Amino acid sequence: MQFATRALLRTVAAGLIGLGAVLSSTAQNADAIATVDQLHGALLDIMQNARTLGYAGRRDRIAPVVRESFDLPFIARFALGRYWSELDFEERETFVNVFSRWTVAHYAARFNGYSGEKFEVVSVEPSRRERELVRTVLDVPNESAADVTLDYLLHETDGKWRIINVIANGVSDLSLKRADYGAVMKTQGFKNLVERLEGQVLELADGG
Amino acid sequence: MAANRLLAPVWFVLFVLTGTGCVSIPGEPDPNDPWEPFNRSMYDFNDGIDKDIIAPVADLYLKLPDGGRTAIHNFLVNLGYPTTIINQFLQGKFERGLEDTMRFIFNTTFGLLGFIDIAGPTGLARNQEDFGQTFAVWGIPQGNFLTLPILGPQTVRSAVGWPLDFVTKPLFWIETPGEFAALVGVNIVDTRARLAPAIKLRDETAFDPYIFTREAYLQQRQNLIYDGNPPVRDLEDLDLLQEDRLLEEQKREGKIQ
Repeated sequence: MQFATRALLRTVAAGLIGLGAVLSSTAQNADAIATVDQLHGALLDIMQNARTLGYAGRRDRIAPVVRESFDLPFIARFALGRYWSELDFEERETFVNVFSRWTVAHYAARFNGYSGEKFEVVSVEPSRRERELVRTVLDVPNESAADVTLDYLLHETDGKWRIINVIANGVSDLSLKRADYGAVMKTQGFKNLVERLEGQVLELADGG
Repeated sequence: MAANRLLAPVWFVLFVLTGTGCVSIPGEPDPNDPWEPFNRSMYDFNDGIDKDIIAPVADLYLKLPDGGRTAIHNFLVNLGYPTTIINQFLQGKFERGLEDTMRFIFNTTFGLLGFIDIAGPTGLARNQEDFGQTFAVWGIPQGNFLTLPILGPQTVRSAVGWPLDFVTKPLFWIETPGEFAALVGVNIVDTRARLAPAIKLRDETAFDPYIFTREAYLQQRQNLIYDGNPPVRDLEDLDLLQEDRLLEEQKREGKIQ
């Protein structure tokens, strides 16, 4: 009898642990999707109001959302790869700062019009090291342009799920940046990289 | 004549190679790209041709109405579709091979030589397979990254597959030289027009356009080989990053030197 009770308790406990894992993983999924949805919503907003907002308006509207939905310090660090460890504290701050402004400028400049595009979440799956991969599609109604698959990799930091990579049609943005920034660091050094990023922020503003 | 068509690109490549003299740049070669100096000179050569000739024509082509361009693109894709079908079967993907065969037959007949993609609206995805991808599925390693004149970024594996891709396209077997040349030309322009947004992104954001192109190409190829579901490579890189962060913390805490 005692044996049976213990077995029963054990089964119930295992079941509860399992249920807990399932519930918390669904909660993680939902939080990761919420972050991506928030970004997509803000992008649609600046696309649909692109003309009236102008570049500065789009930048100001998207900035808080980009800063909240991406883990920009993490991305900046990863993009510099092994060169990060060669920077002192101040240089690191400088880099995260310019990189964050560049990312905001990039979104404000590129999402500058609307022709019926739709963002759709296709699936969400747990990835290694407690990360979540949210797979989405940018549905482009124009038949001469193909739809774009956008996969977002997220992790949790400070109690919020944030994007650490965007993979567009199978091409990882983070890997591209890492290779490109690495090439500049190797041949021209940190100061030059920062100057070039600053230069692009200005160019993006002019072009928008 | 068929042999000439295959050999012409080879002669052209040799001609360009002797002309550029394969410059070598001092310094340690990148282990991931041992042929970088050569590749960079080919990249510059291609970029020049693109800026002077191909891009301006592609810009004009992009001014055509959407519907017209879509029809031309559909026609060209259909004309190259047997390569996809053959490689589906060679990779053991019989269901997809049959789907693609049906698509080719329907598009060529009811779709008026492929100008209309009949299967498009059904949501059935158009596939893109080639011999380079088949070699990958068979476990043949990709070899070094390679940039060829006109053909652009390749791997040794995809470059070896290229002549096979070419001869399995109906395009290759078109007899009239004028029609053949015209279709090759339109094909190049259509491909360039399709790539225009990516090239624009590269030109606006990349500090080293060669590196950007190389990385994007290699990842894009990986994506094609795995039919859109590649093992996410940079997750491993991210893990490495976590490890070096740990290392740094330990250093700060004085646990290791």
